Order: sequence, then C-alpha cells, then structure tokens
Amino acid sequence: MKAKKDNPGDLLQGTLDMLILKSLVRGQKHGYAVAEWIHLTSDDVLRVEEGALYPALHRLELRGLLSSGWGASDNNRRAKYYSLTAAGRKHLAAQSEYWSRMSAAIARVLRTA
Amino acid sequence: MFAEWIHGLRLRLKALFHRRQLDRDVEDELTFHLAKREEKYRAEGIDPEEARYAARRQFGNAMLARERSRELWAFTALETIWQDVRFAARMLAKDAGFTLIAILTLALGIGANTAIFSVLDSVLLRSLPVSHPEQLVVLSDPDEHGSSFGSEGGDRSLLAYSEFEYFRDHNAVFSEIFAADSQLPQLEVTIANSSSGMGAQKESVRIRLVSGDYFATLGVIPAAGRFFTREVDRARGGSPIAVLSYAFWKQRFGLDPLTLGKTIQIRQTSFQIVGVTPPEFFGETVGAFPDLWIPMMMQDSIYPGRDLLTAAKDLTNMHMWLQVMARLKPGVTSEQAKAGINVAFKGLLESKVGASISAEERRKDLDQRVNLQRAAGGSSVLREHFGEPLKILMAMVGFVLLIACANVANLLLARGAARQREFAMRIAIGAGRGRLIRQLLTESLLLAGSGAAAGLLLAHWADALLLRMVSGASSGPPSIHLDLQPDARVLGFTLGVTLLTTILFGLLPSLYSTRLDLTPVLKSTPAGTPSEALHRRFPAGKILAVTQVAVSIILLVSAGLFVRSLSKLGEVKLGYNRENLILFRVDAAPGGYKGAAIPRFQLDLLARISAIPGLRGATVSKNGLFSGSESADPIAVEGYTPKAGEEMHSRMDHVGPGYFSTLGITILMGREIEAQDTASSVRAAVINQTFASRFFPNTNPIGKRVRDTYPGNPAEMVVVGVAADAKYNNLREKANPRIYAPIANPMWENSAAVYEVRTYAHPQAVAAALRQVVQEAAPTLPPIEIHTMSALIDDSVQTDRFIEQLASAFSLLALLLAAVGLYGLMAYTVSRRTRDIGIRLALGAAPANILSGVLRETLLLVLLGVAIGEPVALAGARLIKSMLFGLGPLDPISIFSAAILMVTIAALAGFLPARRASQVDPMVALRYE
Repeated sequence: MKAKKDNPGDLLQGTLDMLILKSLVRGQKHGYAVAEWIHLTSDDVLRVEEGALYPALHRLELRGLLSSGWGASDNNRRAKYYSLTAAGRKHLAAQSEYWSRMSAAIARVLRTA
Repeated sequence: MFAEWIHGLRLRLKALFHRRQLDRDVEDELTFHLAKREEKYRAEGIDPEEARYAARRQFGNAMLARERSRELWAFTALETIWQDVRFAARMLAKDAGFTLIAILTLALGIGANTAIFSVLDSVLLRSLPVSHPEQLVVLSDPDEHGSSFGSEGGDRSLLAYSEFEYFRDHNAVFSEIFAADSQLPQLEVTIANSSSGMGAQKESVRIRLVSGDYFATLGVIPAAGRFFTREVDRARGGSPIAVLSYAFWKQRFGLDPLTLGKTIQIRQTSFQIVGVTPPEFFGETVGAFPDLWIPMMMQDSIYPGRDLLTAAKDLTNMHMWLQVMARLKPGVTSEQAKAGINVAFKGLLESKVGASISAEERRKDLDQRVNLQRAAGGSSVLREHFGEPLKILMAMVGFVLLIACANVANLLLARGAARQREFAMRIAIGAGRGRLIRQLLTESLLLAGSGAAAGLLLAHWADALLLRMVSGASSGPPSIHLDLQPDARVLGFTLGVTLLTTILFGLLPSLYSTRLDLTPVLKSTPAGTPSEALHRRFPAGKILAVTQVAVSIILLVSAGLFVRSLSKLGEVKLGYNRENLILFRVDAAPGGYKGAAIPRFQLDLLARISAIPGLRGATVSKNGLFSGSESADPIAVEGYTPKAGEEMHSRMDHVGPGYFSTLGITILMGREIEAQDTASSVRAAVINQTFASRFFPNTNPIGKRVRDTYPGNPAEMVVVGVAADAKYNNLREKANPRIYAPIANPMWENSAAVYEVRTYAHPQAVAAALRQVVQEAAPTLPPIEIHTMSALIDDSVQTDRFIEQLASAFSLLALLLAAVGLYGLMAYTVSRRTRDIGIRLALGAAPANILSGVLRETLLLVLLGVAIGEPVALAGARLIKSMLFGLGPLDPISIFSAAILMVTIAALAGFLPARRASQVDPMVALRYE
C-alpha cells in the first residue's frame, strides 16, 4: 500500500496535492488542464512535470479525495477527467487553512532577523 | 485516515480484476497529455522537429509517471509475492531431481505425523458429535465395558439399572440422564425385505440397548423419522422399536425413505424402524459403532433368559452392566454434580444394605462411590490401551520429521552453494538480501506445501492400515470403527507442522546462502571455487548429519526395547499347552435353562462333544482362558488365621472333569476334578500353587476345608488337589491364589461356559462337527464363535504389537533418512574436493588411503552422533518403562544393536562416495573446473 498520509515534513508532496485540489474547485479537469492551470495561475512560476503530477492525481483518487471519469476531450480524444469529492473539498479547506497559518508564521520569523 | 485506506483498497481490488484495462488507462492518460503538449507547441509555432525533441526529453518523466501510477494501483505486496511464487516454482521445476527427493522426504515426515495425529485426535481429543458435549458427564467408568455380577467397592466402574433409575428420579443437578449397555453385542437378525418378498436373509448387526432419554440427553436430531423418548422406559417389552444409524441406513437400505416402518426381527420380536440418526453420529462410545439402537426395556430380546433390569434384593447380587451419562443443568459444575450424586448414592446404598450384618461388613458395603467426571469425549474402548502408546508414537514420528527436515536442509544448503553466482548477480543489480531470503523461503514453502499435500494422501492411506492394527484384526473384519477423516484440528495441525518444517529446513540455508562477498563470487567460474561462506557451511552440514544420527539412535533404541519386550512376552510360560486348542462360549440362558438344569446341560453338551471322533480331549470351564472373564470371592480357610488387615480373597473358576489334564496343567498334589464330583457329593476343589503356598504354607492342603464367604452365595469346599500356576487373562498377570470347583456343583448360578477342545491337527476340520453338535443339543441358541488359543493370546498383546510394529517402522524410516542424509553430505564433500583428491593421487597417494580417509570422516560423524544419541535415548527410555515387559530401560542388547546397526548402515552410506573419491582420475580431476 503506497498510500501514505501526509508527512508533515514533506511539504512538497502535500503542497502539490493542495494545488491540484484547488485547481478542481471550479469544475472537472483532465491532468493536462490541471498542470496548465497551476502553471498559468502561478504566473509561470510553478511547473508540474507529469512524473509528479499523475502519481499525485492517482494517489488522491485512491484516497477518495478525487473521483474520475473518462470522456471525450475538446479534440475528440479519450481523456480522464478528475473532480473533487466532498471529502476532497473538506481536505482542501483544512490544508489551505494550515498552509496560511504556516506561511504567516514563517514570514513572521523571517521578518525579525 | 482509515476511511481513505479502505477506499483505496476497494478501488485497488476492482483494479485487480482489470489489470490490462488499468494499464491501458494509464497509458492513454499519458498519451493524451503528451498529445496536448505537442498541440500547444504547434500552436505556439515551435518547429515540429523541436517539438519532437522536447517530447522525447520528457520521455523519462513519462516513463516515471507510468511506473509510479501503476505501482500505486497495484497491490505491490501481493504482486511481489505472486512473482516470488512463480519464480520459485520455475526454479524448483528446473532442478526436478532435487525437488522430487525433497518433496518425497517431506511427504514421509509430514504424512507420518498427520497419520498418527489423526488417530490420536480421534481416540483422545475429539468431542462427541453431539450438541454441547462439554456439558456431558459420565457416572460410570468410561473405559470399562462388560458386565459384572455381584458387588463392587470403591469407585464404581459400571452401574446397575436400578441405580440408574434412582439417579434419574432423585437428582437436582442433571437436565437429562441416560443409561446405555456398555457392551455392543452382535446379533443375527432378519430384516423383512418387502421388495424381495420371501426369503429374508439373516444378517449380523451390532445393537446397543439404551434408555429412553438417550437421544434427548445427547441432543441429536434425527436425519429421518423420530427417536424414542422416555415413554419407552415404562413397560418392559412394551416398545419394540428401533433407530438405525445413518451408515447402516445407507449401506443396507440405500437411504430409501420407505425404510421407516419396516421391521427387523430379533429373535421372537419384530422391531419397527422409527428413525435414523444423523450422519456424523456414532453413539456415546468412541470406537464402537452400533447399527441399531433399541430401548433398554427390550433387554430380553438381546439377552434372553437373563433379568438385567430388576433391582437386586440387596447389595450383593447386582447386575452391573451400564454406562450412565448425563447433561449438567446450566450453572452446575461437575464438582457440585459429583457431590450431589454421591449424596443420593449414599441414600440408595443405605436403603438397600442388609439389616443383619456386622458393622464391618456394613462399612464395606457402604464404601462405594460414583466417580463423576466430564465426558465430552464420551466413553471409549480405545483410550485406556492406546492412549500412552499413541503419545509415544507421536513423539517418535516428530523425531522422524526432524530428521527429514535436516535432510532437506542439507539439500538446500548444497543447492544454495551451487547458486552462489545467481545470488551475487541479483544482489549486484539491486535486490536486497531480504528479498532474496524471502524468495528462498517461498521456495521452501512451496516444497513444504507440496510435501504436505502428498503427505495428506499418504496419511489417508496409512490411516486405513493403522485402523486395522488398532482393531487387532488378525481374525475377521475390524471391530473398531474410528472416524479418521481429517477434521479442522488435524488440518490445522498439518498446516502448523508444514509451517514449522519450512522454518526448520528453510531459514538457515537461506540465511547462509545469501551471506556472500560479491566480487570473488562473481569472478569465480560457474562451479565456483568455494567462497568463505561455503567453508563456514561445512560445519552446518556436519552438525545436521550428527543430529540426524543422534535422533535416529533415540528411535532405534526405543524400537529395540519394544521389539525385545514383545519377544519376552512371547516367551512367557502359560502353564498349559496352547497347541491345537480351540475355545468357544455357550450361554445356556437363551435356551431357557435355569438352576440345576444349567450344569446338566453343560455336562451333557461336553459328553456330546467328547464323542466327536478325532479329538484329543475336551473340557469346560466357566471363565475360559483369555476370554475376558474372571470371578473372585472372599474366602475363609481352615487352619489359617488372617493377619490384621489381610484381604482374604481368591480367584475362582468352575471346571469340568479332565480340565487340568486336557489343558496340560500339572497336578502337583492329589487329583483333579473328575466325573465323580457332582452335586450329590461333598464339593471337591483344586487349589493352585499360589493358593497353597499362601494359605497352607506348612501343611498338607489335601482334605482341608475352604469356605466362600460372599454373602450372596456362601459355599463349602474340600481341597482334593493342588495344580501348578497358569496364566488366565493376560501374559503379564502376576500369579493369584485360585480355586477351582466342579462345574457340576457350582457355588453360584452362571449360565455361560467356555468349552476347551484339543485337536490332533488343524482345528478347522473339527469346527464344522462342533457347530453341528451344539446346534443339535440346543437349537434355540445362537451359533458359536470358535477361537484358537493362539489367536486369543495374540489379541491380548495387540497393543504391544501395535506399538512395536510402528516404532520399528518409524525407526527404520529414520535410519533410512539419516543414511541418505549422510550419503548426500559425503557425496557433496567429495565432489567439492575433487581437485584436491586429484592432486593427491597425482602426487602418489594410494587410492586405498583416500577411501579410508573419507570413510574415517564418515564414521567420525556417526560415532559422534551415537555418542550424543545413546545417553539421550536412555534418559528417554525411562518414560516408556511402564510399557516394557521383562526388561528395564537400560537393556544392553537394545543399546548395542542400535549403535551397531547405525554404524553399519552409515558405513555403507559413506562407502559409495569414498569409493568414488578413490577412483578419481587425476587427469580429469586436475582439469575439473
């Protein structure tokens, strides 16, 4: 069983999950669209490679935070679409709140030096 | 967290069945992603070549994505295990010779263990297949079977019907209680066969008499029809109904539903079949399986001419023949029940004890107890005799398994050595040592599993053989019925043994074989120069071999003791001649003979038998020889004053004229019982030597009077002769004082007698004539069963023979396995040293020296094993002391024969590799890589 709970020290993993969940708030997307959305919304700063993206998507799906379905894309190819589940929304809310607290705390520490 | 895990598990399980679909999905997802990106590049105006390069640069990333995604979706643990299993199976199949030998060895070890355990489970451990057997208790002795007449002090073995009735009506501790005949007679009955109309055949069936609440107490539900209830206990002879066993219904009636309502004719009465028991039910006695159950009130049909149900007047002439079992009321413990029942028993005894007896006699009469005990396992005809032997055999067969495991471990060590390069390669490209070990253990598990499966088959076949041995079926079909089908406990045992053997023989070799220095091994040739680890492996192989030898010695010594014990039993002097002697019992009761008519009938029959031509002699006695019958009474002897607390008891028998001369028992003084000793004269009696030396130490016993002081039948006798001691019931019995009265002038009434007939040659010739004579003399009696004296004696040592045969078989098996193990070890050692031997031979060493060198090495191992094994064997032999006869555990012959046998076989085993070593061609050896 490779599904691990979020290791508090593993910011990268948990952060990516959070970004993926956020990208799906407005509706379902396929994997490429998720990566594009993160890239665009972060002003080209964050680029997600497929070696990290798809394992993360599948892990979130196995945890029940995403649900998936196959459909036709805009170019009539077969694509897998992901959407948030209720559990996913809850998890996103919790993680966002946690992230805000953490980043505010870190910023405070860095300001003092 | 947990909910997420479950969700993942469910999705993964679904994916398990759609592997290919899953792979395609992952593939498609990535292909789509790549296509979209290419689209984007084209849209941005990037050159298609550039785009393709960019795509290929991302290839690794795509590969990574694919791999990791697939891993997520798969049950990696399960898949690696499945991978291991497939690989292990392939590796084992490649080395078919090794695999076959290993599986065969394990099959022998595990199979033998399962076989013995299933017998042990059936005899000692299993509960009755009834409802809540843990609530059952027994008031009689569950190992006692038979019928006794008179009285009994101390803990009761069997109970009388009146006592059962009293307990039934006067207790507060049982919810139900039943009585059952402790014997299982086999009778000739006629079953009305409506389909064939006329000509119903006589057939032999086993019938158990039981009281009305029998089935209710045990809590069984009929497979067909109904059971009888306590209504049937009301009237004697009032319920001619019968319940069939499922097996009998199947075998005799083919499960025909129309069987209910058919009748079975037992003697004069027609019994109607009213029900059938469930398939797994066999009654309350393990090992004895009735075909029919009929109500106890129908006793006259089974034992005609006898009244076994009416209460005796007092405590002296009781018929004790019943097993009584009961179900405890909820909340009542067996201790409470025992106390309660004994209080009731006391009350019963006191109400029946004679009024005009002395205080001493009264105290003795009231000294009786019911030893109530738990009876989840019911009653048994096997526990008493086979309990100990089975436990010992279980230990022995465990040792055999140890030796088998040591053999396979050695094989695995050798194989591991041969696969060094493979292991080094796999470790070099990244397999963890743990993974290798896991894979090797998987191989071991596969071997053990296959061995176990083959072993179960072996056990199934062996169980049939064991059953034959247990029932002592030297004459006729087995009379013991045991269900040896593996139940959950036996299968669980086999599984546990399999896992244990896997660890025993698999773990060490896998740990050893994978501990290696990579570079030297990879650089070495396929045959390989032995690595460091290999040298370390030698002690392991030798330790295993020595252990095998030591354990074999333990088994050989034990087997030797049993063999010698049995042969000593065979040498026991009976005190009479057993050649050409046949015996059969005739019970006059069914013919309606009573009182004085009985001895008249018995002697008349003797006269008719004696008239048969071709007989050397014929006589009769009440208790027979080795017939399971015995009598004893308290006595008073003229001129002998008993010491304080001395029990004045003697064994007794009633014999016909010519008893001693026909049997060949020496008369030491006076004369034997003769035709003139009838009821009209003073009762003559012959005493045996033990009686004479005990009660007439310094006087001539002839003419002295002896009185039977049993209150039920006081009698006077005059001694007319002294006979030599003899064995009457089993070969191990110690001599008891015995007195023989004339059968024509008996001291008590007993309708059965055993006829002893000596023939000139083969008894079979006379058998037909005997049957005819008995038939003519008493047409109403059932046909007689003729036994030879030799067969009866053989049956009496059946347990000893059982353990002797199995112990010998197991120890020889162990010897064989140990020899094979030694051979394997030495052959392997020699093959490893081929180059060195070749060099030595080339330098001028004599082949004979090489041979003796290898032999010496072998013998050193064996002698070490013997030196360790013998003391352990002697220590263990003390545990079996009680089963031995005529020798103690420190028997030198057994000890030395075991050692000599072991050394001889081991020398043979080591000789072949030694010879091969000496025959090495130096030229070939030096080129041997």
